[in-house]
Amino acid sequence: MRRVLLLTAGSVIFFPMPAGAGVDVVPDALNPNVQIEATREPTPSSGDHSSSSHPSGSAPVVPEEPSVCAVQAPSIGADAGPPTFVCAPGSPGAPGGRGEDGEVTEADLRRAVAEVPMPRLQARVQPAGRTLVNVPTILYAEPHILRRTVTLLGFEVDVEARPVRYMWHHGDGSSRATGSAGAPYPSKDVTHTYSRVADAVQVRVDTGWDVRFRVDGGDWTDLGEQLVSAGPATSLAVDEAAPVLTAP
Amino acid sequence: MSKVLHAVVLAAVLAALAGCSGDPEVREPDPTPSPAGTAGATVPAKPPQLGEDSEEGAAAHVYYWIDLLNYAASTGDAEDLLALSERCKECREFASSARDLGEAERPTRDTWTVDDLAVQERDDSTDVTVGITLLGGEQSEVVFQLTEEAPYAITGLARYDS
Repeated sequence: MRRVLLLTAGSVIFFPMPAGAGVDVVPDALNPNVQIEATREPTPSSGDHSSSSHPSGSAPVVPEEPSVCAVQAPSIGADAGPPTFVCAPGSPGAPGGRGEDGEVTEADLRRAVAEVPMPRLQARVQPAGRTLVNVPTILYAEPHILRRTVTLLGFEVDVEARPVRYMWHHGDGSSRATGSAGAPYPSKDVTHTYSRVADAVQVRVDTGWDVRFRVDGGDWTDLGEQLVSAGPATSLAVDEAAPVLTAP
Repeated sequence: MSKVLHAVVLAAVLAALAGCSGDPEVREPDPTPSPAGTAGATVPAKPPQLGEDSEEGAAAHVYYWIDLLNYAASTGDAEDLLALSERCKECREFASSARDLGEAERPTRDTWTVDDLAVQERDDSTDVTVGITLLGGEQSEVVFQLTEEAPYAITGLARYDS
């Protein structure tokens, strides 16, 4: 029997994957809902502390407010290392409050998405390190679209950020906004001409990002506000051109 | 060449071409920002606040345990996880289960994803309650019992029924 493979542009052929690659359900052995019997309701003023491996006796519990710890959102584009925490006394009662009072609204999600840090683009300068007064110095950035999945307020949210606006700070008190990221030499797409000598000016580009997001694989929603990230500084010396005499 | 070999060559060529399709500007970073980063390929890094005598230190301790659990489930390496679970029977059970998963059962994504976390200091323990989403979407709420002050050690693991 002849099998016919229908291929369209951009098709990808999946070879048999190594074992485990398709596992998308928690193994029973690692499911706390299966492995651990529930003990008590999560209220701070509840009585004894009867977890199965608690040392003998139940000490009197002083009802205190639990502190809710926020996981600092990992920066899009940075290495996803372990996060740092900030803990502050939360409202009394169960932490998390999943589905109890107050549903998460779209406004909550938008606020959370707007707080996701945007990538910081490094301003590239040509000539690098040292340039001259009165000649156009080339500036450019290396933009890319980033997609990242983050967990916000208990939901899995895909976030997509596109750089659309660039605010160039030349380091000499002037700045300029462009829709283009510029390009390296020989392009003169985005340039600046310095008029004063300086030991070191700090050049940077602030990037405006158009962001859209989708929740649990639903439709994409535009965030509606442009998020801005300030780029790291690139140091640049500005010199006077010295006339060079050459033999005729 | 035989028909099978034709098919293999064709498949290889098409797979190579498929890699060229799509927007060249799009860069897809490693999936998920949570614990093990590249799905268990590297041993999880210790959170910066581990060892701190503070609520943040307790939170980091628990987060590290979960990070190591995800890593153990993906790779079978539960050495650091077991070391962190010395005083917690349930933790050791999860650690052994993660270590002993069959090859076909090993997830490549995180088994437990932390959604929210709260710390409550009590007279005789520090309780860290964690809302987690399990691989596949099911949710659970667990509480880690730690020693009442630093250096923290996990002494118990229980589940809430909310």
